Amino acid sequence: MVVLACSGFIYIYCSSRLLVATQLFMETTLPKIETANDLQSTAQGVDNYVKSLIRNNTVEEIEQNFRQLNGLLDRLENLTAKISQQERDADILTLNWLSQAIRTQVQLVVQLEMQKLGLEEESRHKSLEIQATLASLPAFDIILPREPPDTTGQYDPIYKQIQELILLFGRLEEVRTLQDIEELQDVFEKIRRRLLDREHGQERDAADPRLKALRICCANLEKLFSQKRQYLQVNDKIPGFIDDLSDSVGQLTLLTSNHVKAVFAKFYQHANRLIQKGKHILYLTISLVIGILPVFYMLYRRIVIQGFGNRLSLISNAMVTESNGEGERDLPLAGHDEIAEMARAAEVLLDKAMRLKNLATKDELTQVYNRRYFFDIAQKEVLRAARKKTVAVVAMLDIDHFKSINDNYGHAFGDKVLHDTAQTCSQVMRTIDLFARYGGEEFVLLMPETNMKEAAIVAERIRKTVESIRFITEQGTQVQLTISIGLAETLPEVGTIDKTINQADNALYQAKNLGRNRVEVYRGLDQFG
Amino acid sequence: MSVIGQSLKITMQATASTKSWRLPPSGPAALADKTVVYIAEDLRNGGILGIGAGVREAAAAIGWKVRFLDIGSQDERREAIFAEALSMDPDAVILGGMDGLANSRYLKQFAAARIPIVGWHVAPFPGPVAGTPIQVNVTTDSLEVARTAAHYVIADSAGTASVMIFTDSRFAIAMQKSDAMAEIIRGCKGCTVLEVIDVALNQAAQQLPVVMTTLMEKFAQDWTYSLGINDLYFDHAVIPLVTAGYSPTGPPFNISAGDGSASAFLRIRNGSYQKATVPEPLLFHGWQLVDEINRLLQKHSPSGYVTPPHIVTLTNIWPKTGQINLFDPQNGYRESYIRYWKKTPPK
Repeated sequence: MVVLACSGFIYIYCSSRLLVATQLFMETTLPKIETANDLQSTAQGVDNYVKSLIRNNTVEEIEQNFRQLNGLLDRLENLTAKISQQERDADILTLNWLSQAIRTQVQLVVQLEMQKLGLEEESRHKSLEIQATLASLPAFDIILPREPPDTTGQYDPIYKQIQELILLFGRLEEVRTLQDIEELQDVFEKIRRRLLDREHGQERDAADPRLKALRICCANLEKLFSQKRQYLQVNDKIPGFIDDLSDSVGQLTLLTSNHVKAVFAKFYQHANRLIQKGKHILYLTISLVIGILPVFYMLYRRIVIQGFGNRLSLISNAMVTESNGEGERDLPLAGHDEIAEMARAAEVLLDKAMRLKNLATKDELTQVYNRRYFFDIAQKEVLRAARKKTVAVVAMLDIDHFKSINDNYGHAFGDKVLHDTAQTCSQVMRTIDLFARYGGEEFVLLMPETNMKEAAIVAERIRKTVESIRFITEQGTQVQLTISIGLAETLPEVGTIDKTINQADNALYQAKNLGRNRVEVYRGLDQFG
Repeated sequence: MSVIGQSLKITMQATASTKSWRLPPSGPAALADKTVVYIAEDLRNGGILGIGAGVREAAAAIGWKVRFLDIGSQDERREAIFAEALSMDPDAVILGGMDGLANSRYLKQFAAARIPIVGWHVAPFPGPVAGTPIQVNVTTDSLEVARTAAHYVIADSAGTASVMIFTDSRFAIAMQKSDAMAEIIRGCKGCTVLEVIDVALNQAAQQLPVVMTTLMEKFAQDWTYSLGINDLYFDHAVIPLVTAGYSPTGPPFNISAGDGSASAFLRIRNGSYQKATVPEPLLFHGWQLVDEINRLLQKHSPSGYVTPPHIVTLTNIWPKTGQINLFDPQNGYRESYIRYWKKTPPK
C-alpha cells in the first residue's frame, strides 16, 4: 500500500509538473514563437512589397510606397530587437545580420529604382528636346532618294547627315542593352566627327543655322547617351539586388523557422521527459505490484503466519495440550518481543496450572496419581469398557515388609523408597495404564483393554523391576525390595471399579500369604479356601 | 608641405592596400576551453554587429565558447543583462559599443569576480579606460578617422570643397570628430565649411529628408561635399537627393567617418550617392578583442595594437562576396593569430 501510495504520489507530481510546463509554455514560449512567426511574415512582406514597388511608374509613387515600406522595415527591426533581447538560445547575431541586410538591400533597391525612373524621366525630356531640334531643321521633311541623283541634280550632304542623326536617334530610343548603346555611341561619334570636319573645313558654314541646330542636337544626344547608359546600368543592377533581398529573406525565414522548431523541440523534450518519467513510474508501480505480491505473501507467511502466528499457535497449543494433559509443552520462549514475553508468561502460568493440577491429581510424595484421581479416571474407564464391551484389569501392588524399612532406616529413607519405587513402576508401565498410590505403601494400577494374560505379563515385569532396584542408605547399606501384586479383571455388568479393586485386593492378600514377591490373580472366593 | 600636399599624402596612405598593414605583436598561445560573454549595447548598430561577427569567428578559431547578450539601448534592461552575464560565469567579458564610464557601476561586479573586461568603442581612444575596470578599448583613433576623412575631401576636391558636416551633439566624441573635420577643412584656403548640422542618429530617418531638402534649397550647387560622423546619415539622405534629381555620382560627394556600414559599401560600390567611408575593420577588431582576453587571462600585457585609418572608395573596394559586406584588411591577421595561438587553421 505504501509502495502504491508513493508511486501514485510521484505520478501525480509528474503530471502536475507537465501541466505547469504546458502552462508556462503557453504564457512565455508561445508569445516568443508568435514573435518569430511575425518576423518571418514581415520579412516576407517586405520582399513582396519591394517586388510590387518596382512596378511603380513614377518617382513620386515609389517615394509614397517607400514610406509604407519603411513601416514594414521598422517592424522588422523591432521584432528582431525583441527576439534578440529575449531569446537566449537563438542565433541573435545572424538574425540581426540578416535583418540589417534586408533593410540595406531594400533601401538600395528603392534608391536605384527611383534613380532609374528619374533617369527615364530625364531621358524623355531630353528626347523631346532633340525631336524639337531636329524638327526645326530646314527641309527636314524632304524625303531624299537613297542614291544621289545623276549629274542633272545636286543635293547638300548635310541632309544625309541630318538623316543619319534622325535614324541614330530612332535607334537610341529603342536601345535595350549596354552593348547596343556602345555600338550606337561609336556610330554617333563618326557622325559627329564628320559634322565637325565639315564645320572646320568651310568657314561660311559655321554660321549655317542648320549646323548650329545640329551642334545643339549632338550635345543633347551626348547627354541622352549618358542618361540611357546610366539607366541601363542601374536597370541591370536592380534584379541582382532583388535576388539578394529574396535570398536574405529566405535565410531569415529559415533561421526563425529553425528557432521556432528548436523552441518546440525543447518543450517536447521537457514534456516527453515528464511523460516518460510518469510512464516509468507507472510501469514500476505495476511491476512492483506484480512482483511484490508474492514477496509480501512469502513475508506474510514467514513473519505473520510462521512467525507470529506459529508462535501464537504454539502458545495456544501448549495451553490446550496442558489442559488436556496431552503431550509435551513446546513454547516459543526465545526472543525479546511481546510473543516471547507471552510465551514465558504462559509457561509460568502453565507451570502454576501444572502444579495446581498436580496438587489435585498427584500424590505429593511419590508424584504418581493419587487415589482420588485414580477413582475419577478408573470409573470413566469402567463405564467406557462396559459400553465397548472390553475388559480391563486392576492390579493392587504392595511393597513387602515396608514397615521394617521405616523402622530400620527411618521415615526419610522410607519416603525415598516409596517415591523411587513408584517412579520405577511408572516407567515400566504402558502409556495407557493408570497408576496411582492407593495408600501407604499400596499402589493400584488400571490396565484398560487388557486381558488377564496380558496383565499378568505386565505385573510380572513390574515385580521383577522392583526386585532389581538397589537402594543405598545414608550409611551405605544396600536395601533390596520386593513387591506383591494382586490382579482382578473388571466386571462390565457391575458398572463400578470398587468390586474389582476388592477382588484385586483379595488377590494381593493371596500373594502375601503365599510368600510375597509374587503376582496372584483373583479367581473367585474359592481361591481363598 | 602645403595643406593640399599633406592631404594628398594622408589620402594616399589611407587608400593604400591593407596588405602592408602591420600585424599585431605576437602573444601567448591560446588557453583552452574559455567562455566569453559579448554584451552588445545594441545589435541594431552595424558596427556592434560586425564586431560580434568577428568575435564569433575568432572564438571558433581559438576554441572558445561565446554567448551574446543585447541591451538594445534600453536602460531599464541594463542591470538585468549585466547580472545575467555574471551568472553565466564567464572567463571574460567583451563590451560592444557602449559608454564604458557610464556603465562602470555595472562592471564592478566583474572586477570583484576577477573577470577581465575588454571593449570596442567604449571610449574615444584605444587602450585602458580610466575610471573603469575595462583593461583594453579596441578602436581606431576616432579623431584620426575624422581627420583622415577631412583630408580626403581636401585632396579629392583639390582644395576647393564646400562641405556640409553632419554630427550628433549627444555624444562628446561625435562633436570632437566634427570639430576636428571642421578645423581641417577650414585650414584649407579654398575650402569652406557650409554648416555643421546636428541630427541625432536615432532621429536620422525622420529628420534627414526635411533637413536635406532645406539644405539643397539653401545651398544648391554650392554644396559639393558632405562629411558625416556616421554612414547612417547617408542611408537617409539618398532619397531626397534622388527626388531632387541629383546625380548618384555627385556632387555632393558624400564621405563618412564612422564604422563603415554595409549600406555604405553598397552605395560606394554602385557609385550611388556615397564616394567614400573611413570604416572600422570590424572583423579584425573582433579577433583583436579575443586575443587581448587571451593575453589578460595569462597576465600578459595588452598588445597595444591600434589599426590605422583606411579610406574605402570605388577604386579600392573589394568585390562583393556573399552576405558579408564588411571592410576586412588583407594583412593576414587571421593566420597570424592562429599561428601564435598555436591553433589549426580551418580548412
